[in-house]
Amino acid sequence: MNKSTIAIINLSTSEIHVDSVPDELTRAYLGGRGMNMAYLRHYLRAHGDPRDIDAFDPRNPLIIGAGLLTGTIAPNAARFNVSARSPESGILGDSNCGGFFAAAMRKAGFDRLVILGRAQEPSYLLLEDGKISILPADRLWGTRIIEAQDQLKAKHGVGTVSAVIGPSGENLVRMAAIMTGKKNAAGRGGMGAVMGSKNLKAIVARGGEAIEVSQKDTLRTLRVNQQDDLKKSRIVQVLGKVGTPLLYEVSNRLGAIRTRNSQDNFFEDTLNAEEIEKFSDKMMACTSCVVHCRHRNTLGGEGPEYSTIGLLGANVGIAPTEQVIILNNLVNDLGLDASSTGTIIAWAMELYQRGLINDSMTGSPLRWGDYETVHALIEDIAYRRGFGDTLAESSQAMRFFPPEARDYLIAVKNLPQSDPHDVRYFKGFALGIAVASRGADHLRNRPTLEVFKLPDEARAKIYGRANDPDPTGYKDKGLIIAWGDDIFAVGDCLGLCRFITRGFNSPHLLGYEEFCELISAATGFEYTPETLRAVGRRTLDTERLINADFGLSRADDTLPKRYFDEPMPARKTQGHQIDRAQFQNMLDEYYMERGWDKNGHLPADRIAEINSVLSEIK
Amino acid sequence: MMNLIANSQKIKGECNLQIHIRLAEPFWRSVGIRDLSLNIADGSRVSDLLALLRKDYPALSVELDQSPPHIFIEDLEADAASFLTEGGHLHIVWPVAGG
Repeated sequence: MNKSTIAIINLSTSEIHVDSVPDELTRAYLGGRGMNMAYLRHYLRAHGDPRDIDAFDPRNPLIIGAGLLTGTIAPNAARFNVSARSPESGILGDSNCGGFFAAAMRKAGFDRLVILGRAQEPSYLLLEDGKISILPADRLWGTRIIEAQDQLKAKHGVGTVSAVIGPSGENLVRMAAIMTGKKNAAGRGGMGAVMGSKNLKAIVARGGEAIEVSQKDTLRTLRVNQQDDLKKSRIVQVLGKVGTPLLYEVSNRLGAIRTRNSQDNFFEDTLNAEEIEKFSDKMMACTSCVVHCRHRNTLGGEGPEYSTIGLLGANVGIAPTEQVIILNNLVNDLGLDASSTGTIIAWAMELYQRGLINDSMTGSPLRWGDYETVHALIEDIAYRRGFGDTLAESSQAMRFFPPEARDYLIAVKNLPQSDPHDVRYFKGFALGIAVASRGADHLRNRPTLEVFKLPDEARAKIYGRANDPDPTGYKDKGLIIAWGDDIFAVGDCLGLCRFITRGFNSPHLLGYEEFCELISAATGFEYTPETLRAVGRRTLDTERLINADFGLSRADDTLPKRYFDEPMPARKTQGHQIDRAQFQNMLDEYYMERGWDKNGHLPADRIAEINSVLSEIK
Repeated sequence: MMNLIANSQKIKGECNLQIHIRLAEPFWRSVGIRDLSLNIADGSRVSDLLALLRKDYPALSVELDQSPPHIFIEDLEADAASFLTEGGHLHIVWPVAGG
């Protein structure tokens, strides 16, 4: 396998430097999220104190990195990570995205881009045949997501794939996404706004050469066998038929759907999967996918996913299926993160409901379920008009509101919660979003196996030791979250989809053993399950160090006030909340599992070890 | 709506209880019906009702074996031994989670 290729692009000076990533660094971080973190720490510290680099400072690196296996025939190897200091949370920003862009980027000759500086005029990058061109984007600037990609395809050919920002990114909306296709989003943390701050509208990749792998025949055999196994999994089968909307009814039955900013915990059946399905004409896939989980909807877009159904439906009180799908398509075409958008609008609605803000600020009433208002507000956020300009600040809009407004913000580390699940019932879910390195997010470690009634022996085998099976208890959750942290981080380093990764609603799927086989066949690098898990640990530790540079510590590993102080109001989850003392016990256990001290800091020898690995970056 | 009186009578003597059943994803797809009602004898438990469903819907039986469900009666989670009551609403749900 060729060495991993990285391009350092300075948009201020138009200088482009292409280099190989040292093998030692590749062995340590593989690619994707882990490698991005290595370079993010390096570039944020290159000028002294990372806190001096604002998210919109040209020195903030925007790092776009494909997973080690992305673009190969490994199952579901489509994904890439986008990383920078987040303008939304102010800390580590990192977002993971599927689609076809990353495979095209690799086939154009680049595994990773580090984009620095700020172009004088709106620009875009063209990656082709190992070369990078910086081109003017004057006619593209101002376009929405679908139109921008259509224009680029018309100009550069049908074989090109683009990652673009919409008006939200151009207008530095702090929850702006980078989009590829109609729906695939690097959505979390405002990476689209970082791209906008660099005057960069798009990155266009024209795939050329097939990605070289070490043992082609072995990789093909692995693909066939693993695909066969995956297709026998019930969760894979069902996702391929109905997609993630299947999760809505389950959470709703339980009483765990964030509703009206988590004042309520269940909502209407109009958002069940079969209602969404009435607007779907096809299931779509990403590069090398065996699942096919994404709806193409009949209203001109793709999706919605469960998160969007919950957060632009139940969370803002909108029940009609068609309206929620239209809002889904709207946020995608404007290039907004659906999770943050739905959470921030619901926050504003509750503030209005409580009289903490009024018409003098909002310009008009904010009422639950008012589709027209939500639709207009989403447009206003993207274009920073009126009250939308305030909400475009995401959680940082707090500075415009009375102090008690913070009590109603469903966010951790200033990142609005990603998913629609009210985590007060399953305590592992709560710990997971509290410690997730980018803020309140389920995709870092969500322990979905907690909802299964697995036998004790099976649980011990999965997690490495006996553990308490009660998902509503606090015991052993540190063990389970640390396990999820590591295997999901490794999946992100490899560029694999969560839906085929062990632990996502199945104790089977692909785990470390299968990952080792894929890596060996693709690259010739040999790992054991233990050394591969160590890559996950290293990634988590590097992320912890990045956040420590921004001043984060134990006090930031927490939850929204409501989750501690207000019991869930109805259904099976009624009465559940997070006990503060027990939560601290969970944190203690989690830090112990991670090898961190009581304050959540890495020991000095571990910091030295990581710095030694990062010294490979020149 | 389906009525399974005939089958339920084979299990119990009297069919005094009418139970409303909602099948969640993916169970309902094997049956083609989202909601059904069933009459079953007084004193029946969830296990009796599941036995009826399995008998009448072999495809659902396969699905239940493959994906053991969580069962709710009204807002409370039930188990196989839980008793059924007149007019009860039973929701058969696949235990999954995500985001």
